[in-house]
Amino acid sequence: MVDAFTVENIAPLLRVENLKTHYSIKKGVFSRNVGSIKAVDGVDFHINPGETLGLVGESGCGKSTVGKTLVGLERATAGNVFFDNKDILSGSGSEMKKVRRDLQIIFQDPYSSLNPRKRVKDILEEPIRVHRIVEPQLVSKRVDELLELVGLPRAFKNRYPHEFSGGQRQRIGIARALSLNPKLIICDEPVSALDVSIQAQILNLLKDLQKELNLTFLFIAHGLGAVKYISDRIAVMYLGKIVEIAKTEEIFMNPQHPYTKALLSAYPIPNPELRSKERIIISGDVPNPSNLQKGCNFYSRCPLAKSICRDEEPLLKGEKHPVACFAVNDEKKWNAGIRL
Amino acid sequence: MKHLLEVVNLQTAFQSEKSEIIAVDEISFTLNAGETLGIVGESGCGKSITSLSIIGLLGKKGRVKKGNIYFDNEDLAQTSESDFRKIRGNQISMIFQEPMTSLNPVFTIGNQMIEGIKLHMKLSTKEARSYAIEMLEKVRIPRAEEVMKEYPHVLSGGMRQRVVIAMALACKPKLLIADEPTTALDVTIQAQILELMRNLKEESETAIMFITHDLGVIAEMADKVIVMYAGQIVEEADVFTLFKNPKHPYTQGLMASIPHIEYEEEERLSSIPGTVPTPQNMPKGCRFHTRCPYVTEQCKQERPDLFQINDTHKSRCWLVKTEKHNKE
Ligand SMILES: Nc1ncnc2c1ncn2[C@@H]1O[C@H](COP(=O)(O)OP(=O)(O)OP(=O)(O)O)[C@@H](O)[C@H]1O
Ligand SMILES: Nc1ncnc2c1ncn2[C@@H]1O[C@H](COP(=O)(O)OP(=O)(O)OP(=O)(O)O)[C@@H](O)[C@H]1O
Ligand code: SF4
Ligand SMILES: [Mg+2]
Ligand SMILES: [Mg+2]
Repeated sequence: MVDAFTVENIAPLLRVENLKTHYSIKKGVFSRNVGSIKAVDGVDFHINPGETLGLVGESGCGKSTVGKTLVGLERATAGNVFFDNKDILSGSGSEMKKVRRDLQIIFQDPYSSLNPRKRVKDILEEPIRVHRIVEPQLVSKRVDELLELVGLPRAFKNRYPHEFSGGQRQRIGIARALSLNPKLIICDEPVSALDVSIQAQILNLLKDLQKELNLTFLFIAHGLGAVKYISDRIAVMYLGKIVEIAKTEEIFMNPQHPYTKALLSAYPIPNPELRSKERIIISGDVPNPSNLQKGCNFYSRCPLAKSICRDEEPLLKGEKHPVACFAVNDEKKWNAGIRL
Repeated sequence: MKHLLEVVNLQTAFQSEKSEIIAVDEISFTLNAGETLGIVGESGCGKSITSLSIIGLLGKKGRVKKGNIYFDNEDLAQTSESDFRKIRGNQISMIFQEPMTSLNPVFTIGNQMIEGIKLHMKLSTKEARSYAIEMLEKVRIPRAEEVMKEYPHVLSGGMRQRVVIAMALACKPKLLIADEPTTALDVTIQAQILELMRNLKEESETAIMFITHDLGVIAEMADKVIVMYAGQIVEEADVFTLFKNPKHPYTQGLMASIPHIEYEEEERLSSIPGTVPTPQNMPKGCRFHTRCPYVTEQCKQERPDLFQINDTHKSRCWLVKTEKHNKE
């Protein structure tokens, strides 16, 4: 965690400007392009050194695509990404190699993200050797250090991934991401597949490592509890766009976008005494991202929608707490309560 | 009052290559009409096997080895497969976590629903069709008539799960078993579905077994709750007691691990150290003793029973005995 007052003068470690990543839809034997999925469609945000930015939003809204584009697993369609003041979308090969080292990703599924035929030792040693992080004779010592960092006994290094529980495998995934001494780690749903008690172990570990190694995180998740626990600021995405971004307390105490409000309201609180609270239940499904209409992407489900929302796209506006919505100030309607 | 469902000392075993694995053991509970029972516990603790035992879908390798499952005065543990088929989908319905388990990809939604409704409700095709559309509308499927003509794969995950729920509720089952019905869904869609299940339960007095590892969903839906650990029930209580005054150290650990959105900043989550034992190497004594902060010599040696704390609250922990002792 970083003190909010000092943060504002620091140069961001990561700056993303108008990032777009579209997937083309191909059909038939000739793979004709028949359209595109605008998975990420004009996203702006920054992350300061040592900070955690949470990224939340409904399934399919483009969170993973943002993460994959940042680490080069998907190609950006447009936009700029500055990491450590270097433009990483148009950088040259050798420069990129260095940047890639500093920018790592941890995936949701600890089962499929580790090569089942390799021992933990080899999984961890390989990147250290390839990138010459330490002298060859020190590689093995470095592996021991990594295992210790993530709280696994050294003896585990001779085992294969299937010999571990989900939580242990996620620790190995984290050790692998740490092996190259990165500055920023993108955590893509790192705890979603885990049971609550194991989830707590991993969340605590990530927080400890952040303090110890001064790491910066982009933390992608849809479990709001975990995101709140770990994030300094939160960005809320809906269908390829960020609709709201603010400090964590702000998002939870003073949500502005109707989608954020609905999301918070729908989240089941683990306390039966609070079960009778009036919920905002929005109806309908997320629209198809390959067939978006003009106007606001939330229009079809929004209880506050008005005619301008159908015709024009709301832009992310505001200094401290940017929101993309034409109805931000239409408070009264909310109080009437909207139900299914 | 007679219970709709009464499970007595259920033990379910699986035959593996070399040996027999006891997946769940000493499972006893009751469920009344209109009541919702929540079942929680970590992955692999036996939630699904408990429900599959009740509806008789354990597969070739699995069997109910001990115990009784009384449903409407009939012991399902003794029921033949052919009799079971009449009960399943008619009096007992199940919603699986993955909706495609219940949907056939090569038939349209309409075909599948009409088939099921005709089989169990003795309606004509025409009547079944309009009833199916009515059910789809009840689960808030837009364009229900068109969706009847569509195949499962063109629907989104949330739509598919709603179709499955419509199918499960169509025959107004007395018992609905919902195994992680909303885990794959987004919270806004989940909220729609939970609301729907609550309404339907009120309308038709359906008893619901709601399996999930999301304690938020349990707090929202359940009247009473069973907490499972390593194949056994470790605590049973009404939902308010369970959240306010959990007695088993495992339940306490689970509750403390939840990151809350309604709290102010939390510095650190407490967590349960270690991992769940597998059925192949269950520890002696209390199954939780390898991870328990209160473990004693007795816990390492002797198996605790599911001790009664009061009329509605039980805990499988020696602490219940010692606490009682101290009070007396
Ligand atoms: N390789 C791909 N080719 C085509 N479309 C894709 C591809 N990967 C993702 N998409 C589509 O892009 C959109 C965004 O997907 P993405 O995986 O980024 O969502 P997400 O927010 O991470 O969702 P989730 O919460 O389910 O992980 C979705 O509509 C998805 O179907
Ligand atoms: N077909 C099978 N053969 C052998 N063992 C099985 C079989 N199915 C389940 N088991 C074992 O029975 C135990 C209970 O499994 P079950 O599927 O009921 O867990 P669960 O509580 O539903 O977990 P989850 O939350 O992951 O769904 C596990 O240890 C599992 O490995
Ligand atoms: S019986 Fe002993 S080891 Fe088991 S939960 Fe109770 S205190 Fe812990
Ligand atoms: Mg994703
Ligand atoms: Mg299960």
